[in-house]
Amino acid sequence: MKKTFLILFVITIIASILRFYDLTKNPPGYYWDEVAIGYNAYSINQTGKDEWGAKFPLLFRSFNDYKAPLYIYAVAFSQKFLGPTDLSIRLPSAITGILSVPVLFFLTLELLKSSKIALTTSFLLATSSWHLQFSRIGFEGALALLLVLCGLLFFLLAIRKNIYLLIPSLLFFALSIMAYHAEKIFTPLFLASLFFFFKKALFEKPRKKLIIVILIGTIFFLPYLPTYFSSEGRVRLTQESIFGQKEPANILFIKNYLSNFSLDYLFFRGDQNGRHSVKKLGELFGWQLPFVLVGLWVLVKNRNKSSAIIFAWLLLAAIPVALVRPAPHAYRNFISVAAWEMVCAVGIWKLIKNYKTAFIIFVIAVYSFAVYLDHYYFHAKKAYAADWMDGNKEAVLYLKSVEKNYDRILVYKDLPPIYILFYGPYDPAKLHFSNHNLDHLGKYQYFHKFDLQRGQSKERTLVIVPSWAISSSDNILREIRMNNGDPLYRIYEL
Amino acid sequence: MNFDLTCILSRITLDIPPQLWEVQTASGMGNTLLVRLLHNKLSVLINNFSRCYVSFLSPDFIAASFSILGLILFLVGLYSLISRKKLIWLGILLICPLPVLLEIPKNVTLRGTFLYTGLGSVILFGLYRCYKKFF
Repeated sequence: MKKTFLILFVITIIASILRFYDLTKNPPGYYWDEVAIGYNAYSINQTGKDEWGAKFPLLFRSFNDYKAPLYIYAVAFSQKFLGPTDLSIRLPSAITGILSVPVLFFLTLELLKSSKIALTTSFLLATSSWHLQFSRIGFEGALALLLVLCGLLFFLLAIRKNIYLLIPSLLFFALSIMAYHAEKIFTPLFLASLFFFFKKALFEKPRKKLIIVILIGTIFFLPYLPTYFSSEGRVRLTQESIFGQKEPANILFIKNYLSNFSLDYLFFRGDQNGRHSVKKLGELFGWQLPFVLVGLWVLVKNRNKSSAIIFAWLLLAAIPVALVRPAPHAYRNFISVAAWEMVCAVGIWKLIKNYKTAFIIFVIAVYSFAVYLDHYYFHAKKAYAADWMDGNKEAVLYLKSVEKNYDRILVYKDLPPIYILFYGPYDPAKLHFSNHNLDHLGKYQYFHKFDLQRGQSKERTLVIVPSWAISSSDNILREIRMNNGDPLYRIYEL
Repeated sequence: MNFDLTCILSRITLDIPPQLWEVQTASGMGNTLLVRLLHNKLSVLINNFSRCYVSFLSPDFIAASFSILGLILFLVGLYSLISRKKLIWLGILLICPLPVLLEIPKNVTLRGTFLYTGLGSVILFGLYRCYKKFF
């Protein structure tokens, strides 16, 4: 057992290195959702209100997409120590990503009762391109996954050991709903299936204890229930819903649902959004395909509660993706990554019989991982810089460095105000006072039409426009480029 | 993907030069030893070939070709074939995408017939197993 924990420690170190290395610089830009999370967290720390002036909200209005609250509060906590910095946005995600590795080890151990499968699963998660992608960015998915893993682990422990452990289990599940929208659909269904699978074991427990535990557990869900059923809480679902499209909803649902199990998506091309994968490789590595198939076969053959849980996990995780567009969607389906790695580990230990095959597979796995790292650190960074809205931060930092020389700075609408708010940083109290007027942010004024002419104003004015809007021969003060060299904005004096 | 059966050998090989060009230029590292080690003709060919081969057996392809009911019956059939160790039948299933993929024979209809007969026979076996189980 000592050896097992030593290996787990090494795996966790590997996971930490992979998640912390170059964290603030790669992915290259800060997508506006990340920046919005950062600014709302800053606003909470400064005023106790979000950017719209709502006091400690359970849904953050942000871009009218009503973001889930938990990750924003986690970023607010990290900003207590780090201030409103880039690292403060991505650090909670990286930490939760690292913690998922040992938690998944204990969960797999509890579920499949095999330390070698548990170690393999945690190693696969530590080096998973899917998991790395979302635990290195300031999105909510990694936190939600960790909470579901903890919830399931405590649920299994409650069944086996002490029924009172159902209380932390329900707490973690309730928190996962507050962490990310996909879990609003996944968690209740998954929890219902867990109660169904273990109904006999649960009813064997002392009735009084069980009722107390479930009542306490239900309390955890209560604060979030009003927002769960409110129109704001369903905004993300209705904005991108499959209903009201040209194609019938049932057909779209089936298509979207099955797309999560497309072998091309899982093993060869992945999600074709530059923020969700490196686009040239699958969400899982190609070499994992035979092991996943064998793992699925072993689990079907075993037909016990553990395999039922894993299958329920995989099948239910696809439902949030199926209800909205586009599909497949690696982020909304992110919750399934741990289950896929578990299935793969089962397959690996079924197929590998000797050291020779193990070595060959290890070499192929290392080669695949090297290809992934090459894609992630060299290709994707440049090729998908625009997907990350690279250059916006640099533009605001430049404007900030010269703003003292000008009376006003005219900003064209292409530069989202959230970047000025966060990298300013702009006082949230002023924003609340102005009724969230984003057209005037101190010296920064937004304009929406190209009707500016030089020499018109007596004020010292700086203008920032998209690079296509003005010729490079027009006395440009500075050109802002993305890390791949593509021009983004041009700055000039009026 | 591949619902129009365009994942074929000639296209796979045609795709290799632009794919290699892309990886060599995107990073700005050029055609260095590392780039050649990680992204070479062989690795791209293997990746493209397996991607195309697997696409013919992918659940979304089977559902698009035979409906969702067809997919369910296919999974039942596949489970029954493996549990009964019907190796010849499984072999046929694994071989059936190859004519389309390798473009042998030249006749396109014949290639498609091979593929759909292979997949269809597993579906029929699944239907038979369901009939035996419930009636």
